[in-house]
Amino acid sequence: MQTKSYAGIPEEFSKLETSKIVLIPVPYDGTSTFQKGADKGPEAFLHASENMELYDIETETEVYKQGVFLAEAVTEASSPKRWWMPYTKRLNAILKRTSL
Amino acid sequence: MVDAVHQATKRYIKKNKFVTIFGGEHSISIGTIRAFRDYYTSLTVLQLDAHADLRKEYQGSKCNHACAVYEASRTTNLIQVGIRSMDVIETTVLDKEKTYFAHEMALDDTWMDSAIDQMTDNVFITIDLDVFDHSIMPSTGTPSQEAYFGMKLWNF
Ligand SMILES: [Mn+2]
Repeated sequence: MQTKSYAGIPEEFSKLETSKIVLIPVPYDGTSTFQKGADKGPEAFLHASENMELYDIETETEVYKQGVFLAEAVTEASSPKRWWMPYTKRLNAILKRTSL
Repeated sequence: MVDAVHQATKRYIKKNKFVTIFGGEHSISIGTIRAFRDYYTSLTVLQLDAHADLRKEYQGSKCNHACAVYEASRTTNLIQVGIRSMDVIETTVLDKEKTYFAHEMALDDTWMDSAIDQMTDNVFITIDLDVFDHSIMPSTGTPSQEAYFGMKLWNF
């Protein structure tokens, strides 16, 4: 994760102690079955946020003034067991036996 | 991964923060919802999604993105909005009273008040970006069309 803060807000609004809001990125794409790339989401989101207006028209507020702390990304990515694992094992055993 | 997200989310809820988690694919919500359940009684989970995600298991795992809210359907007040894609097996899990299908939502706006009436005070919102029509949100794992809402959903 390259981006260090959300929306490029001033440091005084991005400290954990004074922030009401915490963002936790989880760049994980272990089980998607069609289009890949969900793990690139957090970085793309943070990058885009740097070019976003901070004033919200509908609520007439600047939410970032509540403080937004960007937490360390959760990168523990051990995947759930794969259904084909037993087959891989068996295939490996066969390959060994037949010394291919 | 599910446990790591569960722990990280808990750490910040404990500090009384407004915790937002962004991914990543939808299976990150399993651990997230567990953490909120640890701290909030009678939790409502509001899911905005094209898919029901109610499979108990998929491809040999309970932590697949296709299973994102199965656990929540058993343990929380789950309300599903925007659904337009599911497997027949999920019909046995799905609660029709608290599911708002895209084809019904297209007819009128009564679903908004109805869904809001079903919520408890503590609401956890999980947004799968494919709830938006693929013309708005093409870059997701499983884009889905046939959704008319854009601004309407934000209004909700
Ligand atoms: Mn989905």
